[in-house]
Amino acid sequence: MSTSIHPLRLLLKAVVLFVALNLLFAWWNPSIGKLSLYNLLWPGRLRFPYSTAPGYHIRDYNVALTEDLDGLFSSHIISAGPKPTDEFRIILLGDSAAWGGRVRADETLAAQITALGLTSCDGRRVVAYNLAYPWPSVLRDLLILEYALDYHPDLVLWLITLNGLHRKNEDMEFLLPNADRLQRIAQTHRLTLPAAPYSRRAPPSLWERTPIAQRKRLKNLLMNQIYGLMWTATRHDNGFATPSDHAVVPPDVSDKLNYLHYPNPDKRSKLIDSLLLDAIRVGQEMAKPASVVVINEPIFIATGKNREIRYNRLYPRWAYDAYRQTLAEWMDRHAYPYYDLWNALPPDDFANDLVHRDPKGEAHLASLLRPILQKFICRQSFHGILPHSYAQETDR
Amino acid sequence: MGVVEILILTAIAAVLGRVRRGRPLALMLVSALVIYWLQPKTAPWDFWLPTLSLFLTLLGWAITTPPETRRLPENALSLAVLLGTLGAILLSARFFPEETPFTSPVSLRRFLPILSGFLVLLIGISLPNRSPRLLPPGLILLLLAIFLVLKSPSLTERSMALIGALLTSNPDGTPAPLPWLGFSYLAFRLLHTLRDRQAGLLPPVTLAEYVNYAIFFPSFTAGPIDRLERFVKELRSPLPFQPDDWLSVLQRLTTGLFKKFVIADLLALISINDRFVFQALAPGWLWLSLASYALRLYFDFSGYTDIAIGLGRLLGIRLPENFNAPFLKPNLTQFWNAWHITLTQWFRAYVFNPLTRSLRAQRALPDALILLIGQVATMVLIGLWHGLTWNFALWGVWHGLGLFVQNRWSEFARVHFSSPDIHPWVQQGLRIGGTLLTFIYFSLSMAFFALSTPELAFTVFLRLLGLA
Repeated sequence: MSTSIHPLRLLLKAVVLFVALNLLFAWWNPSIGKLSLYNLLWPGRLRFPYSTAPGYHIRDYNVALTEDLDGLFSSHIISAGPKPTDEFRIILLGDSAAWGGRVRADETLAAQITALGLTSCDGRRVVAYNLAYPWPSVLRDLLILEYALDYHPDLVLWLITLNGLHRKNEDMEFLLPNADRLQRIAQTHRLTLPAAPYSRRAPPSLWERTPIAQRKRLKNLLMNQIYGLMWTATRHDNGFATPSDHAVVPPDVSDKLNYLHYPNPDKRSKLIDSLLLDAIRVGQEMAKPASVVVINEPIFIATGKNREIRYNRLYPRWAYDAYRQTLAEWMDRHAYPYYDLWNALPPDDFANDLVHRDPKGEAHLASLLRPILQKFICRQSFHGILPHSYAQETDR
Repeated sequence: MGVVEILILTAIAAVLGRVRRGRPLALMLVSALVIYWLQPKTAPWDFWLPTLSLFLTLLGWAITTPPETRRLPENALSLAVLLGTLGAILLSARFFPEETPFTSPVSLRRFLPILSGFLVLLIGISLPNRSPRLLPPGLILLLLAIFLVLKSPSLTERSMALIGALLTSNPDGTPAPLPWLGFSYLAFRLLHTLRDRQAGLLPPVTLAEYVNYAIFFPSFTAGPIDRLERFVKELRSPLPFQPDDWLSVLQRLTTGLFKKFVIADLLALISINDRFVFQALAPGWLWLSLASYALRLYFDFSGYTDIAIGLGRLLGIRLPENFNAPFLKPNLTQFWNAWHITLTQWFRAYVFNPLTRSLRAQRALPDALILLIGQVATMVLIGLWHGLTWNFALWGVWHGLGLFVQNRWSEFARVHFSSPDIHPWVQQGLRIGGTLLTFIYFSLSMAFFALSTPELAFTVFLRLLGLA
């Protein structure tokens, strides 16, 4: 029998095998993100895997898994096991400020809330889980909330800001790969999605489900598993968490009036129309019977030159004030729990001139949230503003 | 080189390997194009650095080749092909600046006088019946000087800023420095020919053969470093390529790709870095990250070597092996005989052997001291080849001392412990122990290799022992 190898035949066999394996994978379409060494070999992460930019993952020991909710949750400590019976579970939704863009994983707001040592009225210990994800986007938060309901939260703390409610500022990297899930949520809860690519995207085709088409996602999932070793070795997941990375926050702001593509206050009504307020209603409906407490998250408020024009690098006063007023009225009209903490923290609680707090700021905010949480933990309704307001004093 | 580039080069090699007529010329032409293509695209370096590689190669050939071989008519044809290739690259950059994969547009006003000057120099060297004796050492010194500049970041920055300012008229300032792709390996090959020429050992070769040896595209960026006489022999009579060879070539290429782009790239994620020294929560993690770095280095480098050997085989040339399971060797001497083999052979031939011969000739030093000096000096030079820093020098000292101690221990053990009565299990245990110890010793040296300062390396050692 001849043992010689015909190169073309060999190539043909390799191609056929490659195509067959791809088709088999696409047909099977396994939830590969659920396969995880976290909570098995590595400890679960205290917040979702995320890296600022492709080149930063080495610095963060972390990758962004925007395409994979299974991968995000299976890496998180919330997936460590069934919910303990003695645990009162709070989940935090929000953007990079809630994720902790400038703090270590054990210094975030969720960690600080857990560290408050609260107990529920029936004696359960309060544990807060950080399910925030960088980049403000309420639609992305809805996707995370829907998935998180399988983990039986007792209370949802949803930190939002103007950028997150604005329909032109959505997290496309997250929404596009999860478009079918988002469309299902929208359909179920009668949510009108903005005219964006994720609103009319069909479910993944056979080709899109093949490993070769999903290679970036699979690579990120694999890297996330490997980085579990670095997480175990260091408990470090954020390259910007060291004090040297914290900018000296400039007191001055620019004199520009624009917010995104709105040039000036004349566009106030257009701005208001663009807010995705209805997403908050959907969140409230989805989470039932758990309560959803919405917090307008604290922002850095500049104290120097041009402070009468802008609050900070992100927001001119006219736009942010319009947003606050609209949101407060809307929440009041729907009787949803809402707290406006926009000015609750002094500038030196921030690590940059946007919304990112330093460890001191996280602890400060947790202490301000304590009375609110206590009220809701014991299922009492409590509406109003905080007794102390930093900016109310400085604005006078 | 990324996966796409490697796949393209594989296709080119598969086609080129089937060419029979004009094979050295075709191969030379492709290699010349490839060195422009692979050089990172930043003007003006993406033109000037590959061009300097070609100029140095041409000088190397003119200096090392006997006059009667230099005057063969085929060399004129080879030179014309090279200049034609250069012209085509320049034209493509001029007329298709966006589309050309080779280089950014170049100022001909600056290039043509330099080219003319170079050609006059080349002809000046080539015409006399006897090459001046000072030329080989002159080129050796030039290559070493370039080495010195390229391996020192501050010298690189300053000299490239100076040269960049002369080569461009960019009003925005001088261009940023850029790595010179493949220079190290090119220099090793040229130095080998120059030294062997001085020793009268170099066979005469044509221009096309010499250029192919120097810039052979499969091994241009990461070796291995072949010897001229062996390479030219297979260039002249390519190994026959049987259908069965496809399997071994594909195996070699896929193994290389897997080693480099899967194993090494994943190990890179968990390898030691400056921040990790202080972030690691326990010494065990530092041990692990050092071992990961060592393994990563191996898989990265041996992966590239597998790819180079696979491509070379497609072209009918068997490039030398560069790795032979180094982490399975029971002592450091055997490890260094199996790690980056062609580089260590080069240093043995051109540094260690001449140095120890010279020291022995003086008859003033004991053999052990000569060995110590030879090994430390050779390993320090290998270290400094990676960069002119204290870290790489210390890395060299670490390995030089390790080799010396291991050599002395082997001598001692041979006299005192060698007995045919030792049970095979004990021998096997000693072998496994030696292998582990060698791996640990090499991994520890990664503290010098991977970290940016000696202080960090010493901090790692303290932390490994739980002392910091």
